[in-house]
Amino acid sequence: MAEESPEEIPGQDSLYRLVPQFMFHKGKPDPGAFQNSTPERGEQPGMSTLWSRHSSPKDCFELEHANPDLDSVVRLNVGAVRATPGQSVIHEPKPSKELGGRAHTEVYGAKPTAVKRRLRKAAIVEIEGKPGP
Amino acid sequence: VHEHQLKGHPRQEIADKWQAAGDFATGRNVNYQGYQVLLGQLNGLSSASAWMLTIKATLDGKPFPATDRKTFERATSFLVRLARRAAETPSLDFPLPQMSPSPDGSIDLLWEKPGLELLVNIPSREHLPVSFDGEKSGQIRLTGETDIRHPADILLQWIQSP
Repeated sequence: MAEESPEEIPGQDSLYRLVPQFMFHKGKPDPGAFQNSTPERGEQPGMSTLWSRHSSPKDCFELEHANPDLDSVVRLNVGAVRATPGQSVIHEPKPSKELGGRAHTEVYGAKPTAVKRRLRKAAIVEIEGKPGP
Repeated sequence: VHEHQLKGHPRQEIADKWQAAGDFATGRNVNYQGYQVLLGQLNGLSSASAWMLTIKATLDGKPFPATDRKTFERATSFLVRLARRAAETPSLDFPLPQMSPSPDGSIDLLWEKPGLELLVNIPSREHLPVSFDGEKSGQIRLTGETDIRHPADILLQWIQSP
């Protein structure tokens, strides 16, 4: 599938984020679930999400490494993410479903303690998986 | 906690370090019996959180690093210092936080109760300060940094607030 051009994401839309089982406790995601993942060489550190216009919460389970039997999915309002200091929401379509496909969106910006706490607070659990250890 | 995940985790060693971390002289009255109870509870929290030392996982398709033991020990020592302070207060109240790892190798300590949320982050790099951010009654915000060896008094005040 050819890579498609990025679109502007409206503030009222949502982002879905896969939360691995080990980062989900007491019915909520851990603060660390809202940290940037370790970037590969040359990559800008960001947090991967799926844009609601091109996906459903269940589509997160098609991402590579996802475990539909264990993992959870949370929803973030785009406007709330943009209102969090230093955060930008950028649509970055990927060529395959395993990488997020047309819905793939990055949340860029440093995520210090205050940002992690606010993003976690803004997150709504869409699909509750199994609790972590 | 799965016992196999605890293999090689020096629980007693950490418990000893906790004891040492709390044994600084403050010149204040300490409820030693209560302090021992708190240490026991913290030891339980340490055991229950030790899975993060051996975890092999991914986040966003990228490797999620196991927490470094030194970071884990700094986090537990920080909690012991707070518990020691709690043992100097009449209420002796010290609810345990939730301990969880972050992909940057740091550890999050989260206190959450109705109307109060306090997140403290223990960085993986020793020279960096401990950072915190909290919210009370949806109105009062608390944010800042503190020395890992001398936790700011305001943190315990928040943790102990009803």
